[in-house]
Amino acid sequence: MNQNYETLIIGAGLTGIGLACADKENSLIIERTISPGSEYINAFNPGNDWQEEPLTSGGKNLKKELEDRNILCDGKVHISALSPVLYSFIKTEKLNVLFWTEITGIEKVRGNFEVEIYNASGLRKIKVKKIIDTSPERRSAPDKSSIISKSINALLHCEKEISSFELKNGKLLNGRFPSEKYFSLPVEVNDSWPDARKKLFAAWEKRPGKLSGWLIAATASEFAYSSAKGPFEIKNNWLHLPSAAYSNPIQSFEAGVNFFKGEQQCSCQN
Amino acid sequence: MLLSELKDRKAVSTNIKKKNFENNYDVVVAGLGVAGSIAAISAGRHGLKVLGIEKLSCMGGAATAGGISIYYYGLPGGIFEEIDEKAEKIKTGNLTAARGFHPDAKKFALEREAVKAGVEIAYNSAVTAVFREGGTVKGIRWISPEGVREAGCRILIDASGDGEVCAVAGCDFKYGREFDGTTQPYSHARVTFRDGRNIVNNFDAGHIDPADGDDFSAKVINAGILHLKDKFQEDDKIIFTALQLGQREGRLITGDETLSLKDFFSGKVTKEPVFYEYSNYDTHAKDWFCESELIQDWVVVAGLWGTKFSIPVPFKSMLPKGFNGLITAGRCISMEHEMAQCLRMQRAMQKSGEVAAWAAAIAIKNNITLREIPYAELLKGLKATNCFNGEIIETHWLSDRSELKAQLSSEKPGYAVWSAKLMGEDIKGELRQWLSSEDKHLSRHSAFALGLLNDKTALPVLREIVLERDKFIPSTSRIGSQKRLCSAIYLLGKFGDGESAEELLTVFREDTETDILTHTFMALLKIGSAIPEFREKIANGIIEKIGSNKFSAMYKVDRTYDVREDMAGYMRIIAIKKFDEWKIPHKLRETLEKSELTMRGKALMNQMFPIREKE
Ligand SMILES: Cc1cc2nc3c(=O)[nH]c(=O)nc-3n(C[C@H](O)[C@H](O)[C@H](O)COP(=O)(O)OP(=O)(O)OC[C@H]3O[C@@H](n4cnc5c(N)ncnc54)[C@H](O)[C@@H]3O)c2cc1C
Repeated sequence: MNQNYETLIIGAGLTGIGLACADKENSLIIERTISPGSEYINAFNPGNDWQEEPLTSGGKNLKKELEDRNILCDGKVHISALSPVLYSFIKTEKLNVLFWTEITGIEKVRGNFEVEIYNASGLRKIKVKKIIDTSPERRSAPDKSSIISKSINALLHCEKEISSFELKNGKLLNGRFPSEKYFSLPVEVNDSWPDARKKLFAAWEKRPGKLSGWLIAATASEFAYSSAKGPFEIKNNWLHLPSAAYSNPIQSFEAGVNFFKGEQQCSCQN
Repeated sequence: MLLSELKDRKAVSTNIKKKNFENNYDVVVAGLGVAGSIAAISAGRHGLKVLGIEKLSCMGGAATAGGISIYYYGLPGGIFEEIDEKAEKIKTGNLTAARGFHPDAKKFALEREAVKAGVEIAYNSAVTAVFREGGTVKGIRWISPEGVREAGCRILIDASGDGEVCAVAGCDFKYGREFDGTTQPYSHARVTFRDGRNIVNNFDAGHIDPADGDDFSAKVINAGILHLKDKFQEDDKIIFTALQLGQREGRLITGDETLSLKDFFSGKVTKEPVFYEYSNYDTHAKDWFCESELIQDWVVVAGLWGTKFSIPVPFKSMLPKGFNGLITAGRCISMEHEMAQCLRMQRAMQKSGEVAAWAAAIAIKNNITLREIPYAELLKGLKATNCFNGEIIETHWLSDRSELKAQLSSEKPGYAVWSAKLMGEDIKGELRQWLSSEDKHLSRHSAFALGLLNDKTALPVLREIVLERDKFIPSTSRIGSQKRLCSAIYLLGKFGDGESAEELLTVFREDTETDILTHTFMALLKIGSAIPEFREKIANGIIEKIGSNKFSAMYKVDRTYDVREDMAGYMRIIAIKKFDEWKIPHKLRETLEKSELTMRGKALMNQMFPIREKE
């Protein structure tokens, strides 16, 4: 890994990956988990509006790959299978990504940023000219003001198809396969994981009898956020462009790909 | 106070002015994985003020986020059983069936118990620094979703799996095998839904340097790609790919006492056990020629990969040497690499967490140091929660000679081979008689037993196995059993048998499988080391093959996935070291420079030709 990059991208979500594609050699993505696309995949957030045509060739290719691999069909997605597709994309596109790496400090030194990172090697410093934080909670300068709402989701396995169904508490969403559904429960933005998980299990235990055969296969490890659309300026050359502001992974990706083209105006966040 | 950090792989301590902390805890548990979750819950139940810091957004580590929600052996007893029962209740009627336990039920059960026990949980947070006064830990710094945080603590439990927090504090540690300093293969589990339940798919994704952030990240990507399929189908849909890399082995923190398999096999065990592991020599490494002689005796000759044993673990192995107020729990406790292949299973790791919590509670309540805790008092506590219940499973070796003979003449001779080794001189006479038996199994397996007893009467039969290229694989263990040819070649090398050199060179020249090739290579080097006159011939024979740029020796890291590693560079490094020692001229360095070394090749290079840092 080099010590100098033009752009530091925080978060290997879809927008982060899209941003890195714009300048592969000079960008570095830092991701604190080991998962790309975590805001959709680990959130069990299948997104929506999949029928909309992608606007970029990258977006079109990604969508086609999902269809070819039987991950996406008729606007329904097998979201967990997006994970290996993204790992593979990162490798073939030769994107610089450091997974399992924390940002522990950012300092402005002579017009550049000196960023301290922490991972298995310990602490290290890198220098960058620009920072784009794509995380919902703005990890690089904690602030939740762009978060509109959040949910805790679960992936369900459903043996029997039941005709569409409104829940009092939460929503049911379709997955790619008939047996694949998602349960999405809105929680408070400030709810902690223990609070949210407690609500999720309580709600599922109290689900209508008709759904008794539908079972949780896994619960999310990331909240499904709805964020306001960025970019927001944190400081000069330090922006917040939340990946969770879009309808689906392709749109989040394209927001990144198109970012540098559009010379977008920043709205000030704080 | 000293601020200890890890900077670019080196522990660095700086004097700082800090005297105290705004927030103070009795116990901080770093890492709420398999061991840390139990440590935190147990410490909370003892009435201590506990903070648990976890990188991920849930408890349970490898068992939940890591997708490894299945017990592999281990022994019962401890609070984990009660929590598992609660998890089972959570699952019933609400969660899918699962092979093993359900990771989400366990996650939720652990968290509920922790909250109930008053544990403060800091998720999505990583410990990045340790404060200490001399060798006494005083507090920690971590990065949280809200920014950098600090707190004081009386006892810090490093349950980070990889001993990361101890490394940050500046503790001594080791990792990897003696030969090349590398660890066994890593994995990245995938949970899929098949045949009506969640199933864990686990595989070997290659090798990793767990203490190198760049290598770690690159290996995350390599492993992640292995989940890719041309077409995903409903009958094997992905539930999730692991949120934690499957590192089976990492830093082993040097403690007051270090567990070694060699000691264990020779009966040197602690008299003050605090818990027991029950497992086998469960390595996923398959390049046996790089393993120690003890392990090659055990696996390559006796085929005992699957033989399980109960290992007593002393509290002293959880106390990092030279440090106070610091306990390790989980797979980083003080042990040698070989022991680390056995002592890491989840039941035992949970027990280690419970031990850490009991120790913390006793030390804090009595205002004594961890080293001053009377063993009897710790044991009393552990017995109260049934964590220590004296229940072990003995491994019974054979003593009956007719049974021994019967097993030696069977297709599962391993147990008898090792039993004979343990019987020693007493059994040699019979083994020698059996060498000339018409029964091939009896004769050849008796030669293996004599080989392990260092008895040269085994040589003619061992040579015969090589001449015949006997590729029969005994079935003592499900995994790890070797071709008889490989066992014989290994033993001939160990004997330094000059008479075999010619035939082994012939084997080496043949277009043969990598296991046979690599064992032959090592055997030839050992023979050359033992008999100087043979050196030139052996070196020339080896150079002829590995000196070619086209030479490759593909080692299959995983049985199902196409993960391979070329051992060519690796073999060249070993040969260079030997031939330099023998003062035999060669041009292998040039060949080596032209090929790209794997991560392990580089590690071997560092091990064999260390670059001394300038003072
Ligand atoms: C691929 C694989 C397969 C296995 N199969 C089995 C099996 O089938 N059955 C079985 O019984 N055992 C199995 N094991 C062994 C067992 O799961 C592990 O050895 C055991 O989980 C180790 O427990 P631990 O608590 O030490 O580590 P972990 O469970 O890994 O927990 C460590 C925790 O610390 C956290 N952490 C790390 N660094 C920091 C930091 N700086 N700050 C805060 N938190 C941190 C991590 O996120 C993690 O949650 C397997 C292991 C692997 C890797």
